[in-house]
Amino acid sequence: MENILETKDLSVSFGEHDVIKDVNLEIERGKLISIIGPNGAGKTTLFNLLSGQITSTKGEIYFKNENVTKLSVPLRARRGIGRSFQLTNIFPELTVLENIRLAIQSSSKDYYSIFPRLSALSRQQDEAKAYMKKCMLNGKEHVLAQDLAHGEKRKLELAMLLALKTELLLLDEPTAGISIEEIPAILEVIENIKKDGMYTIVLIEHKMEMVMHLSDILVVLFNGELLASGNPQEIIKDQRVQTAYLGGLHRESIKTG
Amino acid sequence: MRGLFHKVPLYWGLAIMLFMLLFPFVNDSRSMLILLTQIFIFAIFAMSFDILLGYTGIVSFGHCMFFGIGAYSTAIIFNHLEATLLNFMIGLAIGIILSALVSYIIGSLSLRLKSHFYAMLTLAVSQLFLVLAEKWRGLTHGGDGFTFSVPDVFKDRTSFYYITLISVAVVFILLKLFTESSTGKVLKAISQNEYRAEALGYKSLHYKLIASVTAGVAASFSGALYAVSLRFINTNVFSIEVTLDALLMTMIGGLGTLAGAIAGAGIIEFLRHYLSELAMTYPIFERWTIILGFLYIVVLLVFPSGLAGFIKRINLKNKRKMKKKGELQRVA
Ligand SMILES: Nc1ncnc2c1ncn2[C@@H]1O[C@H](COP(=O)(O)OP(=O)(O)OP(=O)(O)O)[C@@H](O)[C@H]1O
Ligand SMILES: [Mg+2]
Repeated sequence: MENILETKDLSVSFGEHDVIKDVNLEIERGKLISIIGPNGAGKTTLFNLLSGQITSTKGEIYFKNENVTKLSVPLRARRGIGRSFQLTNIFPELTVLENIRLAIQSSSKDYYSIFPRLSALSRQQDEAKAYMKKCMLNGKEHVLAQDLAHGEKRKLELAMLLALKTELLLLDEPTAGISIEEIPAILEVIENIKKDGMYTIVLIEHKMEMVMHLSDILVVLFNGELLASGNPQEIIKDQRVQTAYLGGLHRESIKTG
Repeated sequence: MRGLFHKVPLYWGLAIMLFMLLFPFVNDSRSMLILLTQIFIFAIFAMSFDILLGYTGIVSFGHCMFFGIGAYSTAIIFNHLEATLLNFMIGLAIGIILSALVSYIIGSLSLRLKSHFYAMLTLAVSQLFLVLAEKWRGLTHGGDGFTFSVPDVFKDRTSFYYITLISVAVVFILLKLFTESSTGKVLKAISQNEYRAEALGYKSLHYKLIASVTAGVAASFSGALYAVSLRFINTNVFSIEVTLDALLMTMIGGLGTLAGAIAGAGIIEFLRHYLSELAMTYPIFERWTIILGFLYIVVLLVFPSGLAGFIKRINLKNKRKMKKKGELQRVA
Protein backbone atom coordinates (compact mmCIF):
# COMPACT_ATOMS: atom_id res chain seq x y z
CA MET A 1 0.00 0.00 0.00
CA GLU A 2 1.14 3.53 -0.67
CA ASN A 3 1.81 6.05 2.05
CA ILE A 4 -0.63 8.92 2.23
CA LEU A 5 1.63 10.92 4.51
CA GLU A 6 5.35 10.95 5.17
CA THR A 7 7.53 13.19 7.25
CA LYS A 8 11.28 13.53 6.84
CA ASP A 9 13.32 14.66 9.86
CA LEU A 10 10.44 16.86 10.94
CA SER A 11 11.53 19.12 13.79
CA VAL A 12 10.33 22.21 15.54
CA SER A 13 11.68 24.19 18.44
CA PHE A 14 10.25 27.07 20.42
CA GLY A 15 13.24 29.14 21.40
CA GLU A 16 15.65 26.76 23.11
CA HIS A 17 13.02 24.10 23.56
CA ASP A 18 13.09 21.32 20.94
CA VAL A 19 9.54 20.02 20.98
CA ILE A 20 9.63 17.74 17.92
CA LYS A 21 12.92 16.12 17.03
CA ASP A 22 13.66 14.48 13.68
CA VAL A 23 10.38 12.63 13.37
CA ASN A 24 10.18 10.27 10.41
CA LEU A 25 6.64 9.07 10.10
CA GLU A 26 5.08 6.96 7.37
CA ILE A 27 1.34 6.61 7.34
CA GLU A 28 -0.26 4.04 5.12
CA ARG A 29 -3.47 4.91 3.37
CA GLY A 30 -6.63 3.45 4.88
CA LYS A 31 -5.12 2.61 8.27
CA LEU A 32 -5.91 3.86 11.73
CA ILE A 33 -2.80 5.00 13.52
CA SER A 34 -2.79 5.98 17.16
CA ILE A 35 -0.19 8.25 18.67
CA ILE A 36 0.38 7.84 22.36
CA GLY A 37 2.78 9.51 24.71
CA PRO A 38 2.81 11.29 28.05
CA ASN A 39 1.54 14.84 28.48
CA GLY A 40 3.82 17.34 26.82
CA ALA A 41 5.38 14.70 24.54
CA GLY A 42 4.59 16.88 21.54
CA LYS A 43 1.56 15.06 20.10
CA THR A 44 -0.56 18.17 19.54
CA THR A 45 2.49 20.02 18.23
CA LEU A 46 3.04 17.24 15.70
CA PHE A 47 -0.59 17.68 14.54
CA ASN A 48 -0.08 21.44 14.32
CA LEU A 49 2.87 20.80 12.04
CA LEU A 50 0.94 18.37 9.85
CA SER A 51 -2.09 20.62 9.43
CA GLY A 52 -0.01 23.78 9.08
CA GLN A 53 -0.91 25.76 12.18
CA ILE A 54 2.81 26.06 12.87
CA THR A 55 5.75 25.73 10.51
CA SER A 56 8.65 23.39 11.07
CA THR A 57 12.15 24.57 11.80
CA LYS A 58 13.53 21.59 9.89
CA GLY A 59 12.32 18.73 7.74
CA GLU A 60 9.57 18.08 5.24
CA ILE A 61 6.04 16.82 5.06
CA TYR A 62 4.77 14.91 2.04
CA PHE A 63 1.07 14.40 1.54
CA LYS A 64 0.18 12.11 -1.35
CA ASN A 65 3.75 12.53 -2.59
CA GLU A 66 3.44 16.31 -2.70
CA ASN A 67 5.68 18.42 -0.53
CA VAL A 68 3.21 20.43 1.59
CA THR A 69 5.72 21.74 4.14
CA LYS A 70 5.27 25.35 3.05
CA LEU A 71 1.52 25.34 2.41
CA SER A 72 -0.88 27.38 4.55
CA VAL A 73 -3.61 25.85 6.70
CA PRO A 74 -6.46 26.43 4.21
CA LEU A 75 -4.47 25.02 1.31
CA ARG A 76 -3.63 21.85 3.24
CA ALA A 77 -7.28 21.53 4.22
CA ARG A 78 -8.24 21.80 0.57
CA ARG A 79 -5.81 19.02 -0.32
CA GLY A 80 -7.46 16.69 2.16
CA ILE A 81 -5.81 17.09 5.55
CA GLY A 82 -8.50 17.67 8.15
CA ARG A 83 -8.18 17.84 11.88
CA SER A 84 -10.17 18.05 15.03
CA PHE A 85 -8.82 19.89 18.01
CA GLN A 86 -8.06 18.92 21.58
CA LEU A 87 -10.44 21.67 22.72
CA THR A 88 -13.60 21.53 20.64
CA ASN A 89 -13.41 23.93 17.81
CA ILE A 90 -16.66 24.76 16.06
CA PHE A 91 -18.70 27.84 15.15
CA PRO A 92 -20.62 28.34 18.40
CA GLU A 93 -23.35 30.69 17.18
CA LEU A 94 -24.19 28.74 14.06
CA THR A 95 -26.53 25.76 14.06
CA VAL A 96 -25.31 22.22 13.60
CA LEU A 97 -26.58 22.28 10.04
CA GLU A 98 -24.83 25.57 9.26
CA ASN A 99 -21.58 24.27 10.73
CA ILE A 100 -21.67 21.20 8.52
CA ARG A 101 -22.79 23.20 5.51
CA LEU A 102 -19.69 25.38 5.78
CA ALA A 103 -17.59 22.24 5.44
CA ILE A 104 -19.63 21.02 2.46
CA GLN A 105 -19.36 24.41 0.84
CA SER A 106 -15.60 24.20 1.09
CA SER A 107 -15.37 20.66 -0.25
CA SER A 108 -17.59 21.59 -3.21
CA LYS A 109 -15.17 24.45 -3.93
CA ASP A 110 -17.87 27.06 -3.51
CA TYR A 111 -15.52 29.59 -1.97
CA TYR A 112 -16.37 33.01 -3.28
CA SER A 113 -19.85 33.19 -4.80
CA ILE A 114 -21.55 36.42 -3.74
CA PHE A 115 -25.14 35.53 -4.55
CA PRO A 116 -27.02 32.78 -2.76
CA ARG A 117 -27.70 29.73 -4.87
CA LEU A 118 -30.88 28.03 -3.80
CA SER A 119 -30.26 24.82 -5.73
CA ALA A 120 -26.92 24.37 -4.03
CA LEU A 121 -28.52 25.09 -0.67
CA SER A 122 -31.03 22.27 -0.80
CA ARG A 123 -28.47 19.83 -2.13
CA GLN A 124 -26.10 20.78 0.68
CA GLN A 125 -28.94 20.34 3.14
CA ASP A 126 -29.45 16.72 2.06
CA GLU A 127 -25.76 16.03 2.11
CA ALA A 128 -25.42 17.52 5.57
CA LYS A 129 -28.21 15.32 6.88
CA ALA A 130 -26.36 12.24 5.65
CA TYR A 131 -23.25 13.24 7.60
CA MET A 132 -25.34 14.00 10.66
CA LYS A 133 -26.78 10.52 10.51
CA LYS A 134 -23.37 8.95 10.19
CA CYS A 135 -22.20 10.85 13.25
CA MET A 136 -25.37 10.20 15.26
CA LEU A 137 -26.54 13.78 15.36
CA ASN A 138 -30.05 13.17 14.04
CA GLY A 139 -32.63 15.77 14.93
CA LYS A 140 -30.07 18.33 16.06
CA GLU A 141 -29.84 20.31 12.81
CA HIS A 142 -31.31 23.52 14.20
CA VAL A 143 -29.58 23.46 17.57
CA LEU A 144 -26.90 26.10 18.03
CA ALA A 145 -23.52 24.41 18.25
CA GLN A 146 -22.83 26.10 21.58
CA ASP A 147 -25.93 24.45 23.09
CA LEU A 148 -24.79 20.91 22.28
CA ALA A 149 -23.58 18.55 24.97
CA HIS A 150 -19.85 18.11 24.97
CA GLY A 151 -19.92 14.70 23.32
CA GLU A 152 -22.21 16.02 20.61
CA LYS A 153 -19.78 18.82 19.86
CA ARG A 154 -17.16 16.13 19.30
CA LYS A 155 -19.51 14.35 16.93
CA LEU A 156 -20.14 17.61 15.12
CA GLU A 157 -16.41 18.04 14.61
CA LEU A 158 -16.24 14.57 13.11
CA ALA A 159 -19.22 15.29 10.87
CA MET A 160 -17.51 18.46 9.65
CA LEU A 161 -14.36 16.54 8.82
CA LEU A 162 -16.34 14.01 6.80
CA ALA A 163 -18.24 16.79 5.06
CA LEU A 164 -14.92 18.38 4.20
CA LYS A 165 -14.15 15.14 2.32
CA THR A 166 -10.85 14.85 4.12
CA GLU A 167 -8.82 11.82 3.28
CA LEU A 168 -6.61 12.15 6.32
CA LEU A 169 -8.33 12.76 9.64
CA LEU A 170 -6.15 14.00 12.46
CA LEU A 171 -8.16 13.51 15.65
CA ASP A 172 -6.69 15.11 18.74
CA GLU A 173 -8.16 13.37 21.80
CA PRO A 174 -11.74 13.11 20.55
CA THR A 175 -12.84 11.85 23.95
CA ALA A 176 -11.11 14.54 26.01
CA GLY A 177 -13.37 16.13 28.57
CA ILE A 178 -16.54 14.23 27.72
CA SER A 179 -18.50 12.14 30.17
CA ILE A 180 -18.02 8.37 30.41
CA GLU A 181 -21.54 7.71 29.13
CA GLU A 182 -20.79 9.61 25.93
CA ILE A 183 -17.60 7.75 25.07
CA PRO A 184 -19.12 4.60 23.50
CA ALA A 185 -21.01 6.74 20.99
CA ILE A 186 -17.84 8.55 19.91
CA LEU A 187 -16.08 5.23 19.66
CA GLU A 188 -18.86 3.89 17.48
CA VAL A 189 -18.69 6.91 15.17
CA ILE A 190 -14.94 6.50 14.76
CA GLU A 191 -15.38 2.80 14.11
CA ASN A 192 -18.00 3.55 11.46
CA ILE A 193 -15.70 6.03 9.78
CA LYS A 194 -12.90 3.48 9.82
CA LYS A 195 -15.17 0.78 8.39
CA ASP A 196 -15.94 3.01 5.41
CA GLY A 197 -12.40 2.37 4.24
CA MET A 198 -12.09 5.74 2.49
CA TYR A 199 -10.30 7.45 5.31
CA THR A 200 -6.91 7.36 6.94
CA ILE A 201 -7.18 8.25 10.60
CA VAL A 202 -4.49 9.42 12.97
CA LEU A 203 -5.70 9.40 16.53
CA ILE A 204 -4.15 10.96 19.60
CA GLU A 205 -5.64 9.26 22.61
CA HIS A 206 -4.87 8.59 26.24
CA LYS A 207 -7.52 5.94 26.82
CA MET A 208 -5.56 2.74 26.31
CA GLU A 209 -8.48 0.30 25.88
CA MET A 210 -9.80 2.49 23.10
CA VAL A 211 -6.38 2.72 21.47
CA MET A 212 -5.84 -1.04 21.61
CA HIS A 213 -9.31 -1.69 20.28
CA LEU A 214 -9.12 0.68 17.29
CA SER A 215 -5.53 0.87 16.09
CA ASP A 216 -3.83 -0.87 13.23
CA ILE A 217 -0.56 0.81 14.06
CA LEU A 218 0.62 2.30 17.33
CA VAL A 219 3.16 5.12 17.44
CA VAL A 220 4.83 6.22 20.66
CA LEU A 221 6.07 9.76 20.98
CA PHE A 222 8.32 10.64 23.89
CA ASN A 223 10.04 13.98 24.46
CA GLY A 224 9.38 14.90 20.86
CA GLU A 225 11.01 11.76 19.50
CA LEU A 226 9.50 8.79 17.77
CA LEU A 227 10.20 6.05 20.29
CA ALA A 228 8.54 3.12 18.58
CA SER A 229 5.95 2.30 15.97
CA GLY A 230 4.31 -0.88 14.79
CA ASN A 231 1.81 -3.52 15.77
CA PRO A 232 -0.04 -2.35 18.89
CA GLN A 233 0.27 -5.66 20.74
CA GLU A 234 4.01 -5.73 20.26
CA ILE A 235 4.58 -2.07 20.91
CA ILE A 236 2.84 -2.16 24.22
CA LYS A 237 5.16 -4.95 25.39
CA ASP A 238 8.30 -3.05 24.34
CA GLN A 239 10.49 -2.40 27.36
CA ARG A 240 11.36 1.20 26.38
CA VAL A 241 7.73 2.01 25.89
CA GLN A 242 6.89 0.48 29.23
CA THR A 243 9.35 2.68 31.07
CA ALA A 244 8.80 5.83 29.01
CA TYR A 245 5.09 5.89 28.48
CA LEU A 246 3.87 4.08 31.53
CA GLY A 247 6.31 6.15 33.55
CA GLY A 248 4.71 9.20 32.00
CA LEU A 249 1.26 7.90 32.81
CA HIS A 250 2.38 7.38 36.33
CA ARG A 251 3.53 10.99 36.57
CA GLU A 252 0.23 12.07 35.16
CA SER A 253 -1.74 10.14 37.74
CA ILE A 254 0.34 11.64 40.52
CA LYS A 255 -0.29 15.10 39.11
CA THR A 256 -4.04 14.70 38.89
CA GLY A 257 -4.42 12.53 41.99
CA MET B 1 -38.28 28.23 14.46
CA ARG B 2 -35.64 29.96 12.41
CA GLY B 3 -37.97 29.93 9.43
CA LEU B 4 -40.33 32.16 11.33
CA PHE B 5 -37.60 34.65 12.19
CA HIS B 6 -36.76 34.87 8.55
CA LYS B 7 -40.30 35.44 7.40
CA VAL B 8 -41.57 37.99 9.89
CA PRO B 9 -38.99 40.69 9.08
CA LEU B 10 -39.77 40.27 5.38
CA TYR B 11 -43.43 41.23 5.94
CA TRP B 12 -42.33 44.04 8.18
CA GLY B 13 -39.85 45.22 5.62
CA LEU B 14 -42.47 45.28 2.89
CA ALA B 15 -44.94 47.11 5.15
CA ILE B 16 -42.38 49.74 6.10
CA MET B 17 -41.36 50.15 2.48
CA LEU B 18 -44.99 50.64 1.44
CA PHE B 19 -45.50 53.18 4.20
CA MET B 20 -42.39 55.08 3.18
CA LEU B 21 -43.47 55.05 -0.47
CA LEU B 22 -46.83 56.57 0.45
CA PHE B 23 -45.48 58.93 3.08
CA PRO B 24 -44.93 62.01 0.87
CA PHE B 25 -48.62 61.85 -0.12
CA VAL B 26 -49.71 61.91 3.51
CA ASN B 27 -47.25 64.38 4.92
CA ASP B 28 -45.36 66.70 2.66
CA SER B 29 -43.69 68.72 5.39
CA ARG B 30 -40.36 69.74 3.94
CA SER B 31 -38.38 69.26 7.12
CA MET B 32 -39.81 65.78 7.62
CA LEU B 33 -38.85 64.74 4.10
CA ILE B 34 -35.35 66.11 4.61
CA LEU B 35 -35.03 64.26 7.89
CA LEU B 36 -36.15 60.99 6.35
CA THR B 37 -33.81 61.48 3.41
CA GLN B 38 -30.97 61.97 5.85
CA ILE B 39 -31.98 58.77 7.64
CA PHE B 40 -31.94 56.80 4.40
CA ILE B 41 -28.48 58.06 3.55
CA PHE B 42 -27.10 57.21 6.96
CA ALA B 43 -28.86 53.86 6.89
CA ILE B 44 -26.72 52.92 3.88
CA PHE B 45 -23.65 54.12 5.70
CA ALA B 46 -24.54 52.18 8.86
CA MET B 47 -25.23 49.02 6.86
CA SER B 48 -21.80 49.29 5.26
CA PHE B 49 -20.27 49.48 8.72
CA ASP B 50 -22.33 46.49 9.81
CA ILE B 51 -20.76 44.37 7.07
CA LEU B 52 -17.40 45.07 8.66
CA LEU B 53 -18.14 44.96 12.35
CA GLY B 54 -21.31 42.91 12.58
CA TYR B 55 -20.70 40.25 9.99
CA THR B 56 -16.94 39.91 9.88
CA GLY B 57 -15.90 41.21 13.29
CA ILE B 58 -13.48 43.78 11.86
CA VAL B 59 -13.17 46.99 13.88
CA SER B 60 -12.61 50.19 11.93
CA PHE B 61 -11.99 53.59 13.50
CA GLY B 62 -11.80 55.36 10.18
CA HIS B 63 -14.88 54.32 8.25
CA CYS B 64 -15.67 58.01 7.65
CA MET B 65 -12.92 58.12 5.04
CA PHE B 66 -14.99 56.15 2.53
CA PHE B 67 -17.99 58.34 3.25
CA GLY B 68 -15.78 61.37 2.69
CA ILE B 69 -14.17 59.98 -0.46
CA GLY B 70 -17.61 59.41 -1.97
CA ALA B 71 -18.83 62.84 -0.91
CA TYR B 72 -15.79 64.74 -2.16
CA SER B 73 -15.62 62.86 -5.48
CA THR B 74 -19.18 63.84 -6.31
CA ALA B 75 -18.85 67.38 -4.98
CA ILE B 76 -15.64 68.10 -6.85
CA ILE B 77 -17.09 66.77 -10.11
CA PHE B 78 -20.17 69.01 -9.73
CA ASN B 79 -17.91 71.94 -8.88
CA HIS B 80 -16.02 71.57 -12.14
CA LEU B 81 -18.54 70.06 -14.53
CA GLU B 82 -22.20 70.62 -15.26
CA ALA B 83 -24.89 69.40 -12.91
CA THR B 84 -26.09 66.44 -14.96
CA LEU B 85 -27.01 62.91 -14.00
CA LEU B 86 -24.18 61.56 -16.14
CA ASN B 87 -21.68 63.62 -14.18
CA PHE B 88 -23.19 62.31 -10.97
CA MET B 89 -22.56 58.80 -12.23
CA ILE B 90 -18.98 59.74 -13.05
CA GLY B 91 -18.42 61.23 -9.60
CA LEU B 92 -20.03 58.23 -7.99
CA ALA B 93 -17.87 55.84 -10.01
CA ILE B 94 -14.69 57.74 -9.12
CA GLY B 95 -15.61 57.66 -5.44
CA ILE B 96 -16.39 53.96 -5.56
CA ILE B 97 -13.21 53.03 -7.39
CA LEU B 98 -11.09 55.16 -5.05
CA SER B 99 -12.77 53.66 -1.99
CA ALA B 100 -12.34 50.14 -3.29
CA LEU B 101 -8.65 50.79 -3.91
CA VAL B 102 -8.03 52.44 -0.55
CA SER B 103 -9.90 49.76 1.39
CA TYR B 104 -8.09 47.05 -0.53
CA ILE B 105 -4.69 48.53 0.18
CA ILE B 106 -5.39 49.18 3.85
CA GLY B 107 -6.85 45.70 4.16
CA SER B 108 -3.98 43.88 2.53
CA LEU B 109 -1.51 45.82 4.67
CA SER B 110 -3.19 45.15 7.98
CA LEU B 111 -5.79 42.39 7.89
CA ARG B 112 -3.29 39.55 8.07
CA LEU B 113 -2.08 40.99 11.36
CA LYS B 114 -3.93 41.20 14.67
CA SER B 115 -7.30 42.89 14.42
CA HIS B 116 -6.37 46.19 16.04
CA PHE B 117 -3.90 46.96 13.24
CA TYR B 118 -6.79 47.49 10.86
CA ALA B 119 -8.53 49.73 13.39
CA MET B 120 -5.42 51.85 13.88
CA LEU B 121 -4.50 52.01 10.21
CA THR B 122 -8.00 53.09 9.17
CA LEU B 123 -7.91 55.77 11.83
CA ALA B 124 -4.51 57.02 10.63
CA VAL B 125 -5.44 57.02 6.95
CA SER B 126 -8.76 58.75 7.59
CA GLN B 127 -6.92 61.49 9.45
CA LEU B 128 -4.58 61.71 6.49
CA PHE B 129 -7.56 62.31 4.22
CA LEU B 130 -8.81 65.00 6.60
CA VAL B 131 -5.48 66.79 6.40
CA LEU B 132 -5.41 66.34 2.63
CA ALA B 133 -8.87 67.90 2.32
CA GLU B 134 -7.80 70.83 4.47
CA LYS B 135 -4.53 71.48 2.67
CA TRP B 136 -5.44 70.85 -0.95
CA ARG B 137 -7.35 74.10 -1.11
CA GLY B 138 -7.32 74.34 -4.89
CA LEU B 139 -9.55 71.32 -5.07
CA THR B 140 -11.43 71.38 -1.77
CA HIS B 141 -11.43 75.01 -0.60
CA GLY B 142 -10.04 73.73 2.70
CA GLY B 143 -12.03 73.66 5.90
CA ASP B 144 -14.58 76.22 4.64
CA GLY B 145 -15.71 73.89 1.92
CA PHE B 146 -17.77 74.94 -1.08
CA THR B 147 -21.28 74.82 -2.45
CA PHE B 148 -22.20 73.39 -5.80
CA SER B 149 -25.31 72.77 -7.82
CA VAL B 150 -26.86 69.39 -8.51
CA PRO B 151 -29.24 67.98 -11.15
CA ASP B 152 -32.90 69.05 -10.80
CA VAL B 153 -34.12 65.58 -9.77
CA PHE B 154 -31.85 65.84 -6.77
CA LYS B 155 -32.96 69.38 -5.98
CA ASP B 156 -36.60 68.47 -5.75
CA ARG B 157 -37.09 67.21 -2.17
CA THR B 158 -39.76 64.69 -3.08
CA SER B 159 -37.93 63.12 -5.97
CA PHE B 160 -34.68 63.03 -3.99
CA TYR B 161 -36.62 61.42 -1.16
CA TYR B 162 -37.64 58.61 -3.52
CA ILE B 163 -34.14 58.27 -4.95
CA THR B 164 -32.63 57.77 -1.51
CA LEU B 165 -35.46 55.49 -0.41
CA ILE B 166 -34.92 53.25 -3.40
CA SER B 167 -31.19 53.39 -2.82
CA VAL B 168 -31.60 52.07 0.73
CA ALA B 169 -33.89 49.32 -0.47
CA VAL B 170 -31.53 48.28 -3.26
CA VAL B 171 -28.43 48.40 -1.08
CA PHE B 172 -30.27 46.46 1.63
CA ILE B 173 -31.32 43.74 -0.80
CA LEU B 174 -27.87 43.51 -2.37
CA LEU B 175 -26.11 43.32 0.97
CA LYS B 176 -28.68 40.85 2.27
CA LEU B 177 -28.07 38.59 -0.71
CA PHE B 178 -24.35 39.01 -0.18
CA THR B 179 -24.57 38.00 3.48
CA GLU B 180 -26.73 35.01 2.60
CA SER B 181 -24.30 33.88 -0.09
CA SER B 182 -21.49 31.39 0.40
CA THR B 183 -19.07 34.24 0.92
CA GLY B 184 -21.36 35.85 3.49
CA LYS B 185 -21.64 32.60 5.44
CA VAL B 186 -17.88 32.35 5.59
CA LEU B 187 -17.67 35.93 6.86
CA LYS B 188 -19.97 35.01 9.74
CA ALA B 189 -17.91 31.91 10.40
CA ILE B 190 -14.68 33.90 10.45
CA SER B 191 -16.11 36.38 12.94
CA GLN B 192 -16.88 33.48 15.28
CA ASN B 193 -13.82 31.32 14.84
CA GLU B 194 -11.21 32.36 12.34
CA TYR B 195 -8.89 29.49 13.22
CA ARG B 196 -11.57 26.93 12.43
CA ALA B 197 -12.56 28.63 9.20
CA GLU B 198 -8.97 28.36 7.99
CA ALA B 199 -8.85 24.69 8.94
CA LEU B 200 -11.92 24.21 6.75
CA GLY B 201 -10.00 25.53 3.78
CA TYR B 202 -11.08 29.18 3.74
CA LYS B 203 -8.37 31.80 3.33
CA SER B 204 -9.58 34.27 5.90
CA LEU B 205 -7.54 37.17 4.54
CA HIS B 206 -9.43 37.02 1.25
CA TYR B 207 -12.77 37.16 3.01
CA LYS B 208 -11.78 40.05 5.22
CA LEU B 209 -10.61 41.91 2.14
CA ILE B 210 -13.92 41.24 0.41
CA ALA B 211 -15.78 42.58 3.45
CA SER B 212 -13.50 45.59 3.68
CA VAL B 213 -13.94 46.51 0.02
CA THR B 214 -17.70 45.92 0.07
CA ALA B 215 -18.06 48.14 3.11
CA GLY B 216 -15.87 50.82 1.56
CA VAL B 217 -17.86 50.85 -1.67
CA ALA B 218 -21.24 51.06 0.07
CA ALA B 219 -20.01 53.81 2.37
CA SER B 220 -18.74 55.75 -0.61
CA PHE B 221 -22.19 55.56 -2.20
CA SER B 222 -23.82 56.96 0.92
CA GLY B 223 -21.24 59.73 1.02
CA ALA B 224 -22.07 60.74 -2.55
CA LEU B 225 -25.77 60.94 -1.69
CA TYR B 226 -24.92 62.93 1.42
CA ALA B 227 -22.98 65.55 -0.54
CA VAL B 228 -25.82 65.84 -3.04
CA SER B 229 -28.38 66.24 -0.24
CA LEU B 230 -26.50 69.21 1.26
CA ARG B 231 -25.26 70.69 -2.03
CA PHE B 232 -22.32 71.71 0.11
CA ILE B 233 -19.24 70.00 1.40
CA ASN B 234 -16.52 70.65 3.92
CA THR B 235 -13.98 68.59 5.82
CA ASN B 236 -16.56 67.51 8.40
CA VAL B 237 -17.26 64.41 6.30
CA PHE B 238 -13.85 63.13 7.34
CA SER B 239 -14.37 63.79 11.06
CA ILE B 240 -14.28 61.03 13.63
CA GLU B 241 -17.90 61.82 14.59
CA VAL B 242 -19.02 60.36 11.27
CA THR B 243 -17.37 57.07 12.19
CA LEU B 244 -18.86 57.21 15.67
CA ASP B 245 -22.31 57.77 14.16
CA ALA B 246 -21.94 54.57 12.17
CA LEU B 247 -20.77 52.72 15.26
CA LEU B 248 -23.65 54.01 17.38
CA MET B 249 -26.25 53.27 14.72
CA THR B 250 -25.15 49.68 14.19
CA MET B 251 -24.72 49.06 17.92
CA ILE B 252 -28.17 50.39 18.76
CA GLY B 253 -29.86 48.48 15.98
CA GLY B 254 -27.96 45.28 16.62
CA LEU B 255 -24.79 44.06 14.97
CA GLY B 256 -24.93 41.69 12.06
CA THR B 257 -28.54 42.28 11.07
CA LEU B 258 -28.51 45.05 8.41
CA ALA B 259 -32.14 45.88 9.29
CA GLY B 260 -30.84 46.85 12.71
CA ALA B 261 -28.46 49.32 11.09
CA ILE B 262 -31.40 50.97 9.32
CA ALA B 263 -33.37 51.18 12.57
CA GLY B 264 -30.33 52.55 14.34
CA ALA B 265 -29.88 55.25 11.71
CA GLY B 266 -33.55 56.20 12.19
CA ILE B 267 -33.26 56.42 15.96
CA ILE B 268 -30.07 58.46 15.97
CA GLU B 269 -31.14 60.89 13.28
CA PHE B 270 -34.56 61.45 14.89
CA LEU B 271 -32.92 62.06 18.26
CA ARG B 272 -30.38 64.40 16.76
CA HIS B 273 -33.15 66.32 15.03
CA TYR B 274 -35.44 66.69 18.04
CA LEU B 275 -32.70 67.26 20.56
CA SER B 276 -31.23 70.08 18.53
CA GLU B 277 -34.74 71.54 18.18
CA LEU B 278 -35.23 71.30 21.92
CA ALA B 279 -31.89 73.02 22.36
CA MET B 280 -33.46 76.21 21.02
CA THR B 281 -35.70 76.41 24.09
CA TYR B 282 -33.60 74.46 26.58
CA PRO B 283 -29.94 75.19 26.03
CA ILE B 284 -28.96 72.07 27.97
CA PHE B 285 -29.87 70.01 24.91
CA GLU B 286 -27.16 71.73 22.94
CA ARG B 287 -25.01 69.06 24.41
CA TRP B 288 -26.97 66.39 22.62
CA THR B 289 -23.78 64.55 21.76
CA ILE B 290 -23.43 63.89 25.47
CA ILE B 291 -26.97 62.57 25.53
CA LEU B 292 -26.10 60.28 22.65
CA GLY B 293 -23.10 59.16 24.65
CA PHE B 294 -25.37 58.26 27.56
CA LEU B 295 -27.68 56.49 25.18
CA TYR B 296 -24.73 54.49 23.99
CA ILE B 297 -23.91 53.36 27.52
CA VAL B 298 -27.54 52.48 28.17
CA VAL B 299 -27.60 50.43 24.99
CA LEU B 300 -24.49 48.55 26.03
CA LEU B 301 -25.93 47.80 29.46
CA VAL B 302 -29.55 47.05 28.63
CA PHE B 303 -29.46 45.67 25.10
CA PRO B 304 -25.97 44.32 24.65
CA SER B 305 -26.97 42.78 21.34
CA GLY B 306 -28.88 45.81 20.12
CA LEU B 307 -32.53 46.26 19.34
CA ALA B 308 -32.61 43.23 17.04
CA GLY B 309 -31.08 41.02 19.70
CA PHE B 310 -33.57 42.36 22.25
CA ILE B 311 -36.54 41.55 20.02
CA LYS B 312 -35.15 38.10 19.31
CA ARG B 313 -34.72 37.48 23.02
CA ILE B 314 -38.30 38.51 23.79
CA ASN B 315 -39.57 36.26 21.01
CA LEU B 316 -37.55 33.40 22.37
CA LYS B 317 -38.83 33.98 25.90
CA ASN B 318 -42.44 33.98 24.70
CA LYS B 319 -41.85 30.81 22.79
CA ARG B 320 -40.27 29.13 25.82
CA LYS B 321 -43.22 30.22 27.93
CA MET B 322 -45.64 28.83 25.38
CA LYS B 323 -43.68 25.61 25.23
CA LYS B 324 -43.71 25.33 29.04
CA LYS B 325 -47.46 25.95 29.10
CA GLY B 326 -47.92 23.21 26.52
CA GLU B 327 -45.84 20.82 28.57
CA LEU B 328 -47.77 21.64 31.73
CA GLN B 329 -51.05 21.03 29.94
CA ARG B 330 -49.79 17.72 28.70
CA VAL B 331 -48.76 16.73 32.20
CA ALA B 332 -52.09 17.80 33.67
N1 LIG C 1 3.46 27.58 20.71
C1 LIG C 1 4.28 27.07 21.66
N2 LIG C 1 5.24 27.83 22.20
C2 LIG C 1 6.07 27.32 23.14
N3 LIG C 1 6.00 26.06 23.60
C3 LIG C 1 5.04 25.26 23.11
C4 LIG C 1 4.12 25.72 22.12
N4 LIG C 1 3.27 24.71 21.81
C5 LIG C 1 3.65 23.67 22.59
N5 LIG C 1 4.71 23.99 23.37
C6 LIG C 1 5.39 23.08 24.31
O1 LIG C 1 5.66 21.90 23.62
C7 LIG C 1 5.51 20.78 24.48
C8 LIG C 1 4.58 19.78 23.85
O2 LIG C 1 3.25 20.25 23.85
P1 LIG C 1 2.05 19.47 23.17
O3 LIG C 1 0.85 20.29 23.37
O4 LIG C 1 2.42 19.12 21.80
O5 LIG C 1 1.98 18.16 24.06
P2 LIG C 1 0.94 16.96 23.97
O6 LIG C 1 1.73 15.74 23.71
O7 LIG C 1 -0.16 17.28 23.04
O8 LIG C 1 0.40 16.92 25.48
P3 LIG C 1 -1.07 16.60 26.03
O9 LIG C 1 -1.16 15.12 26.15
O10 LIG C 1 -1.08 17.25 27.36
O11 LIG C 1 -2.06 17.18 25.09
C9 LIG C 1 5.02 21.32 25.80
O12 LIG C 1 6.13 21.38 26.68
C10 LIG C 1 4.53 22.68 25.47
O13 LIG C 1 4.70 23.55 26.56
MG1 LIG D 1 -2.17 17.60 23.16
